[in-house]
Amino acid sequence: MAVGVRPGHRSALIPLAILLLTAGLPSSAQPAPAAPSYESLLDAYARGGSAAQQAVLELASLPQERVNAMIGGARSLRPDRLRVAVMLHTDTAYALLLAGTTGSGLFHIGAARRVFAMLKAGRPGDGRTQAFERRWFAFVASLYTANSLFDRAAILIRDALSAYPRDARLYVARGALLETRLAFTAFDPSSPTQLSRRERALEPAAADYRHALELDPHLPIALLRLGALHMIVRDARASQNLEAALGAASEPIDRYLAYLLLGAVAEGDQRLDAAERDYEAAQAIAAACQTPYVALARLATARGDEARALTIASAFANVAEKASDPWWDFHLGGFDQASLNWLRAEARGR
Amino acid sequence: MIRALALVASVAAAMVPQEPPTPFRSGIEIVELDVSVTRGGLPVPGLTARDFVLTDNGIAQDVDSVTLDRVPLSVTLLLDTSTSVLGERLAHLKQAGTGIVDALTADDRASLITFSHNVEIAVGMTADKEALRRALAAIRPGGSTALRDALQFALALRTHDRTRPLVLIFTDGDDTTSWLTEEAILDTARRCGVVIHAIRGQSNRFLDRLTEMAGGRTWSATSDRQLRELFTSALDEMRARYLVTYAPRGMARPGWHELKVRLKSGRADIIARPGYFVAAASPSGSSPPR
Repeated sequence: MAVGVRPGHRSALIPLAILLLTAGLPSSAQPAPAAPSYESLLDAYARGGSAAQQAVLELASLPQERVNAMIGGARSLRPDRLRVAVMLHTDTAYALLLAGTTGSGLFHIGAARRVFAMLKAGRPGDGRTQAFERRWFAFVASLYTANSLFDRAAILIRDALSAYPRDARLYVARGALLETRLAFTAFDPSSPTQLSRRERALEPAAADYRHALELDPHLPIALLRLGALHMIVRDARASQNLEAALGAASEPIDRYLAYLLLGAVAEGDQRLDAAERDYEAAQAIAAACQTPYVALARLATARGDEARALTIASAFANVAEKASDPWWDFHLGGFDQASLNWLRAEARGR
Repeated sequence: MIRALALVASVAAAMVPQEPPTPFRSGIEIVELDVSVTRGGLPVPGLTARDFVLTDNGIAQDVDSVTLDRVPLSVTLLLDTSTSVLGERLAHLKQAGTGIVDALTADDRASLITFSHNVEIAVGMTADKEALRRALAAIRPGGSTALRDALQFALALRTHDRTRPLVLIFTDGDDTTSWLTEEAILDTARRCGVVIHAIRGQSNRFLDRLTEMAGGRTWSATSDRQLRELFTSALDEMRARYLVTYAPRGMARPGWHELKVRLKSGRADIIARPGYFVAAASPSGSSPPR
């Protein structure tokens, strides 16, 4: 049964980002339109759905001076409203970064941090606020990493770890950042010297994942990342990590990734029947995602079964509505959709 | 992140070949090899079977026939539509693709596969030039790059009929998102025996290895304005190739078969795939040798 990873699971904000990209953004020199109030934007964002999208679009369209003035007036807001404000700015930043307008996106991350300062003021040690902030740090680190803003990600994680040195997700974010940085460094996989150097360079990332697991032994994303890394460096513990991830995972995305990676480990060991079973299990979770088709077609080719490779490729061609593949996010820095979902729900009180 | 942009923007016009597939052959009876023979950069015309010397795993073979530009082509256009082609490059890419479509003969066929991180089988193998032009015009770029995954689909979907398959790749960046490794897709290319030409926007060691393995060539585009000319050159190069056919003697065993081709007399630059792969018995029969 196909569950969990469906077309459009990725983000309702994507069309908004396209709109921003195609429409362009107003400059601060333009005359200000009749702007909505901050309160009305927060109300709309808190409702979710298309109202939230509209709120993000309107906020993204406002000159920065106007936004600064709005935030200046937010000090009197209740904590629940400040959480909504943090996520309104964060989602706006997400959409703007997605649209390639990095400067404006970073402005709204800064705005979110200013609202956070108001949220924390007068509530030192508040558990709910701290949990919210820890998750926010983990998400924004992944947002930066996925947008190749590596130095900003490193600084954010450093700051976050100084405040929350026992947060497992932050160590995962740091390891993923290192892996992603390396992925953008050219190297020749057919050169044993370069391969060995690459594997040594990955060791600190493995150490981060292991430390995350010391803090939270059942954190699926840490198990997945450590398993994937062990697979790359041909460490026999890969299967064990990935089986543990499968056991710990409650989210379909994590199970999907665990099956895919277990398939790759089995394929690497020439256990082709096991690989096929794992890839098919991944496909059963996410029938509209690309990677299981790629993996199964390649497996058929490797077995000399060209008819099956053709059948699989044809089946992929006939998938009417393809889904965003969690593998892409996992591979390119581990964009933390789970944390984003959690933060949105927390801000909206549900 | 960025890859989600293209997901929404993409048009899922996926189609598979509508014709019933030709049954796979269950043994290696005939090997067909596309061979480029040039001298001073120009094709050498008028060669016959007697002019070629061919060995299969070191054993000399009798060339049965040599034909030139008589067998129709089935061209798979595999185009990079990642964010890097946004802007003027996209317009030139569409023109180049349209140029290929215009240059197809009535018997030729073509398909269009586009890729960013997302692979789209935009048009299955068809002789319908208008469908191809429409799909080219509808390309919307965005996202990262998964060339290797796209190539796996392109090779799996190749025709198994009497046409000469050609995969023509355009890419201007490094692969950032593929599931498959370089070695895996090189192995797929080795097993499929399809000529692969590539036009690249920047130096790309993997493409060099791939096209060499697939008996094709790479062309470097120093400007976007060159794309149409280079695409046409790639098609012309394929048309100028000889189709060399022979029945292998004592060559039934599975595995890699190394091929060497040269002219009996005279010097020339020869490009052909370096071998072919015979699969062991499989549920669907052996892999055809082209």
